[in-house]
Amino acid sequence: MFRQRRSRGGTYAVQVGAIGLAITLMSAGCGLFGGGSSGRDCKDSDTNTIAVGSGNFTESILLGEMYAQVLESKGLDVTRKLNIGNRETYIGAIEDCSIDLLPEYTGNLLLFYDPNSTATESDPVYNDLKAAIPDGLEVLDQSPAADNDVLVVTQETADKYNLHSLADLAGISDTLTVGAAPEFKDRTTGLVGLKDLYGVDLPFKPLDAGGPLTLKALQNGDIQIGEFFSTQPVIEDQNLVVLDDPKHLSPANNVVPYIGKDADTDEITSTLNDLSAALTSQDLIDMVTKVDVDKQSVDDVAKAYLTSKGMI
Amino acid sequence: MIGEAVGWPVVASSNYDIANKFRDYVTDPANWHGPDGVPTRIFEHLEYTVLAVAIASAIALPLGLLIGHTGRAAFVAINIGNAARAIPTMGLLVLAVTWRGLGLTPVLIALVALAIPPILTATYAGIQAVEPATVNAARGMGLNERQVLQLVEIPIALPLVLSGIRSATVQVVATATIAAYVALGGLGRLLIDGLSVRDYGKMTFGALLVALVAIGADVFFALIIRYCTSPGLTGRPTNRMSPIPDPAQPVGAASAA
Repeated sequence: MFRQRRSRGGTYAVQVGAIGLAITLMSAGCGLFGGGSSGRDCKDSDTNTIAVGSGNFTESILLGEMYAQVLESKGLDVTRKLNIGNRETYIGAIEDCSIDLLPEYTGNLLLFYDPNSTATESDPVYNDLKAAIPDGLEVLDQSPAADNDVLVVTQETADKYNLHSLADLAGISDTLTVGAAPEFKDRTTGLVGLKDLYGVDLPFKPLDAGGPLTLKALQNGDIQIGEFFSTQPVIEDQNLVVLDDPKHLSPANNVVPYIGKDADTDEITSTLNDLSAALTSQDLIDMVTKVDVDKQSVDDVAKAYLTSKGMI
Repeated sequence: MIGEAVGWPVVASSNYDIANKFRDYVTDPANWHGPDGVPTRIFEHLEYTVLAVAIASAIALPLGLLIGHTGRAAFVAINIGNAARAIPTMGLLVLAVTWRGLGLTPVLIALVALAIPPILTATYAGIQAVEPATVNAARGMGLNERQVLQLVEIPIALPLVLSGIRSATVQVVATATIAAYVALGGLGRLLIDGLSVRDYGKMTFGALLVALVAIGADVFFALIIRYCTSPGLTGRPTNRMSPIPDPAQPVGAASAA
């Protein structure tokens, strides 16, 4: 009886180890197809239908739905594969030809392909991005609409230290802790840049940028400065104060359609470029609020917007 | 880069660079000391594990002994225990953070909730499985309830009780990586920080370390169980087992024979 139990326990540990390794290798597998420079090569691609994908957050799903609706209005055959997952996953999908078109953000997509990029302003980011993306793929025109990484404080903290901008942090910085995504620690767009550009050296907690942990930590006082995304309704809801970034610490994250060259046509390019040109950051905030706060459906919100702009 | 210097083979592939990244991470001396170093991470991981299993044992052992011995409330306790296994640890962690804020407490809440069910059910099952005849014989010899538990039931149930703590520990080792999700340390930092910059070499090394620590904990408990088990239970002949004294022979003659 004893021996039997012992062998079962041993097998269990090996199983746990094997599962851990398997998960890592699976993530790594996504990286194998997603992060490399292999690019996209769709020989058997079905040119008659265009598969639209998106990330797994409201704004990306909304943008994907809008792309799908405007293309459908031009008589194109569209397949929706929205709400795919994180960037590692959906980039893998566009590179292996499971999808043809994605809404993306210039700054984060550039950092995905070139983690050492230091460009932060809109046009340099866009130009570097065009050079960084792999063969077989292209970005169309970038939209003025942007969803930037922003650092926010509570109204209380802003009043206490008279904070409006990241430049105001000089001198008081070591009393404030910043909570942001883990990569913030080592990136020039994070702590390194804060020190170089603004001369502030902040204690850091790695959290979920823009997520419930960051919000709670901010409200509890575990952190005083939190990383959010500029189009999140929660910023207005919770009366958070966005700190200005006059020296461009965070990269510009303009919305940009990311498409396989084999799937693109002049008609698609002009249609999506018209949509990008019309879209503003405030439009994004309004639409995300309608979906996340007012609980309207993504389809309806996208359709109402496109109709109001005369695009469908 | 460093790998080439120390003569590790460089895996040549522009696309598949996990092996190279893994080697770079392992061979970079900067990763082996300081507050972000691998030894610190292993120590933190063990710290969370030991704390969580200790707290879970402090709760589940007395409870398991009590319901195992009395047989009361067994149905309710065991079903609650088993239902608790279905609680998603990550969800509980985030809930605990929104309740208690950042820090060690929410992580321990999540890990303790994970560790209680295996300890509780194993302890209950171990005590419950003791032969009623043995227990009645002990009572017949004049042992009171406390003595029955201490001198008869616990020693007989011990291998099963310890195996419950063992499987709880291995589960907690594998799950303590979630501490990194809420800004703490541990080996999860290698996984989460690695993922955030797509350093799959770092992640692979982190996963490997978690697996090694889990196997180490398992072996540790295997040894403890081996040496804590009453010789009367194992059924294997050992020289530690004292021979039945034969009144006809002087003490010591048996071992000389």
